[in-house]
Amino acid sequence: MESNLFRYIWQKSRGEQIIVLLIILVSIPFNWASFDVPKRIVNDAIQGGAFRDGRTTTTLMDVTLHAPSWLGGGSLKLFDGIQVGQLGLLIGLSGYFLLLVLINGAFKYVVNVRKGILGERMLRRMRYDLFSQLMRFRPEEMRAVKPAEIASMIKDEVEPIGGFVGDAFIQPVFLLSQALTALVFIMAQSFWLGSIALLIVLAQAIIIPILRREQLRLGRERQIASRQLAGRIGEIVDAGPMIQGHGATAYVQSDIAGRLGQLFDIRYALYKRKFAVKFLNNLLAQITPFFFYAIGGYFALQGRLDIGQLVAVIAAYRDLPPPIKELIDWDQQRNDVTIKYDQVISQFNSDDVLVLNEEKAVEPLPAAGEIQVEALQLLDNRGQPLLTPLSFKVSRPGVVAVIGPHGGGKDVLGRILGRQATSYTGRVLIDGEPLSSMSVERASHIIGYAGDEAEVIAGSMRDNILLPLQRHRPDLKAEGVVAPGGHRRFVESIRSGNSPFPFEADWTDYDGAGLGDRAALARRVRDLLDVFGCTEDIYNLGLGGKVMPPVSEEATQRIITARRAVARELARTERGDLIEPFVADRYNANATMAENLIFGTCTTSRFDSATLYFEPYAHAILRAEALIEPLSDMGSRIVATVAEIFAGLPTGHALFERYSFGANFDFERLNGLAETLAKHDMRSPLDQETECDLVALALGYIEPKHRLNLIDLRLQQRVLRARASFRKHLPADAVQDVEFYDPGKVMFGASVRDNLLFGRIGYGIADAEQKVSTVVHQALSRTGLEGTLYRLGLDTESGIRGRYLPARLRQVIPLMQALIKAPQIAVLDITGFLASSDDPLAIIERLRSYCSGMTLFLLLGDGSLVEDVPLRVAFHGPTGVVEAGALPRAANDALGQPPRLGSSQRMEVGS
Amino acid sequence: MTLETDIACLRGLSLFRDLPASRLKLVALMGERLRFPADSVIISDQDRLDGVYVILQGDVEFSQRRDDGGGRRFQKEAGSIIGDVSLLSGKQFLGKVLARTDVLALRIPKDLFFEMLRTVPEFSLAISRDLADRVARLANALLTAGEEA
Repeated sequence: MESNLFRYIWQKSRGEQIIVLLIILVSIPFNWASFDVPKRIVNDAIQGGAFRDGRTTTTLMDVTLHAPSWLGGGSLKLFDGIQVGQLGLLIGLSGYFLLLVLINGAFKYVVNVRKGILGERMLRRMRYDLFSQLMRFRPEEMRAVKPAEIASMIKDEVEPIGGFVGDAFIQPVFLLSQALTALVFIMAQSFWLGSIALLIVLAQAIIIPILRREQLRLGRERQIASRQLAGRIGEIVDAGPMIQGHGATAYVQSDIAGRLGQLFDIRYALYKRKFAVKFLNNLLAQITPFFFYAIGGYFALQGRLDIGQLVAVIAAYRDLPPPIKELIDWDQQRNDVTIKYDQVISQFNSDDVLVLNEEKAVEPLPAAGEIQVEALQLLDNRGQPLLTPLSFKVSRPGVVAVIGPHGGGKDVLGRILGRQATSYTGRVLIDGEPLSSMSVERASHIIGYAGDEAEVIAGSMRDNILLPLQRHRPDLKAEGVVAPGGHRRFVESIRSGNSPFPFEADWTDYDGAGLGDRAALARRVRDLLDVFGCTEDIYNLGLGGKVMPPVSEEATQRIITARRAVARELARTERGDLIEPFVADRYNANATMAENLIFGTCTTSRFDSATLYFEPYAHAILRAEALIEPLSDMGSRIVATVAEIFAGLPTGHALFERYSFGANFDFERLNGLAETLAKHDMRSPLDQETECDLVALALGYIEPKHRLNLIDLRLQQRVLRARASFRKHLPADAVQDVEFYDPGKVMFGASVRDNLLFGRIGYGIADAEQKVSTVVHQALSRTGLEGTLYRLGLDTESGIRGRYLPARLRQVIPLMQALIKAPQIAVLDITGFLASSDDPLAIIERLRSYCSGMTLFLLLGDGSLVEDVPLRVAFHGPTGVVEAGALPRAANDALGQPPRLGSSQRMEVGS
Repeated sequence: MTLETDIACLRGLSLFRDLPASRLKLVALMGERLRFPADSVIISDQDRLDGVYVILQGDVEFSQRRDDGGGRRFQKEAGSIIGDVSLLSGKQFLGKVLARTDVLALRIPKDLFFEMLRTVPEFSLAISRDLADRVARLANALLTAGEEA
């Protein structure tokens, strides 16, 4: 970017600046006239100067064009004017003055608005330019910057620069013109008074900037300190949980406190300076009228200056200090902003930035070729090798297995090939073309890289997967209809040098990825998910999504249909025992007691089982059905048993988690309850808190899960009665809190899965979850709702850093991203993904056949999965060994190990 | 079947004979009690094990098919533990386990299994004894096979 602020501003906004300057030039005569009129009002109209020789009328509004003397000095009378008396003259001149005030005001308004818009436009351009510059950084540099600092620079630090842009050229011209007009006017009235004014103005113009130098230095310090503060806060937020975990919060707080203190000191010094300068400035401005009154009055007494002139001079002087003061302010601002600009620009002006885009469309590589790695080496900033010199060749298409532990040369080689690291020595030649000289766009078309870390951005799973394809500039002319305001937005972005392409348009590059249309793209996504064996996970993701109101009538209908289909499918496969459905008059053994009681989804926390005891309505129902005592008995027995089982376990907590009774019963709490109960005297009633806890425990109880044999038929009957009366007498204000189970209604707040199953998965059936999944899946495909669910899964919001996604899907995102664009070279780190997969061998198999047309660099930790790959680079630390010509894959060693023992013994070992 | 019967059943197994009562209750409670109808597959060839199975009731049959079409089968009855070797060694389970009668099994999930090994010394000891016993038998079988050859 341009390193000189004024040159930058002039280059980018020349036209607009000139227009505003012209407007100002036009405004000068009006400004002058507005100074002149008061003099005429006082002298001619009030003091009767125009009527001195006994005339009773004078001419008003005569318009005469005078030719300058060098043209012969002729004149042309356009309008003879009207004859008015003294009062008429006064009114007329006052009216004229009012008109001039309005005109000057209008000029000011127009100039300010234009300046403001100009500034905003430049601000927008500057922010965009900075951001574009950031996008051109080398990947290492981009990783080295602190996000919060960059954000604070783009967002906050350029803001005053933007405000200044409108003033950069216009303000000095405008103010100077005003000040000079006033000064010249005063001079014209009285040379002496004018000289005094000029002298004081000069004093201001010389002393103040000198005093302000220190202020500027402090300003610069403040800018750097506050930027560093932003960066530090960002850093701490990133590491926040870790810092909390280590109890280092006080230490970190003191760091921030120190920085705030430093900032305070700077600002304190700044304020002292600022007001001292202000004081001096005001003083100088106030002193001038003293001279005017004293000296001007003296002249007037002597008769060398008439009263009208004196009044006009004082009036004109009122207009002199503000422009001068503003001019000095402007100079201050100029210094300030120039420093800020230099500061920001120095952060963004990197010597070697990348070439982002190609001139023409990217040509794919020929189908076959060769990739050469020559003496590739990478050192870290201390000169330690991250990758020791490595050379190998692979013909395209082909496969290279890069094997090594995490954090070693394997990752480095991957990053270099994926263009994430560029500061290497040696060369990577793709068909003879060095990788380092390729533009970013070309490289991104040819190479698909998936690193060991998933970088998930906000948006849905689909948005993330399709991100690499968002590279086709939308056709601006394609849509004939422009949305209202669209045209204006377009013109405005062009004016500010921003990208005119709307973000909402379809950026998908179908052609570049070898895809015909949307359907083909959807197919590829599906294929890739199949390759990685993640399709089922997507369905599960869809099933896990919550159903939230509002749901359209159609969607409701679909859910109900699917629910029936699931029930039918269960009946058909005779797996009715898998799910125990919710039936209004039957106790659901596989659901908690609370669920059996309320028989609905709680949409608010009002009927949480932890505090149900204290909820007046629920309490009344429990009491009416005489359930409180049995429930609290149940609770006591649970406490006793659990306390006994877990007693003396050193780290029993993790085991305990499996046997949970709801979120807020941890081991300590149960032990506490056990102690309370042991101390309790049976003759007196329990205190309310304890009873509430016991009831809550009982409410979380599920017989087949916890198996303490605590629920008998009589208790079930009672709960069913309570269920009926709970529903029947539900007060009007609780209608919003519960969504009762109804086979014909959608359960809001529950997951799609719960909505489809409409029951609880039975305990005690092997792999019930998976079987249910299969059944649900079958049912959905029978009713043709499979696609809906799949789409629902892909549309799942991924959350910050993908935290709403299961680990496996988070890990598959970079792999999908690398392959979705159909690159010719794929560099895939699949170590992490394979670790969370059940069948790594099959995934590699599918992946290799999918990528058969590409050159595949497979980065993994375990070499046994790719034993038949002829070219292998095995890393030990930063050093790689190239093993060419490995053994071809044996025909039948599907298990990856040759048989050694006789079958029976092997079974013994295997069991 | 209630917890008490489960515990009684576990106590009958040699594997858990020496476990104190409270620990036995822990195993019974933490495990997942699963019912397999006769002739259903408990573990198939391709499964990656995610837990060990303790057979509480019923008979199971191991079978392994060789590539040449031949194969071996043998029985295990109640009280056996299946899958511990595979879990401990990290190797794939070889063979297939079928329920011959109605089988009641206690599945101890993988993470729970390891956690019990770590936190319940009596449990680790019982598992080690069982393993050692099987190694001894295996060595014996190898020796006998060597003599026959």
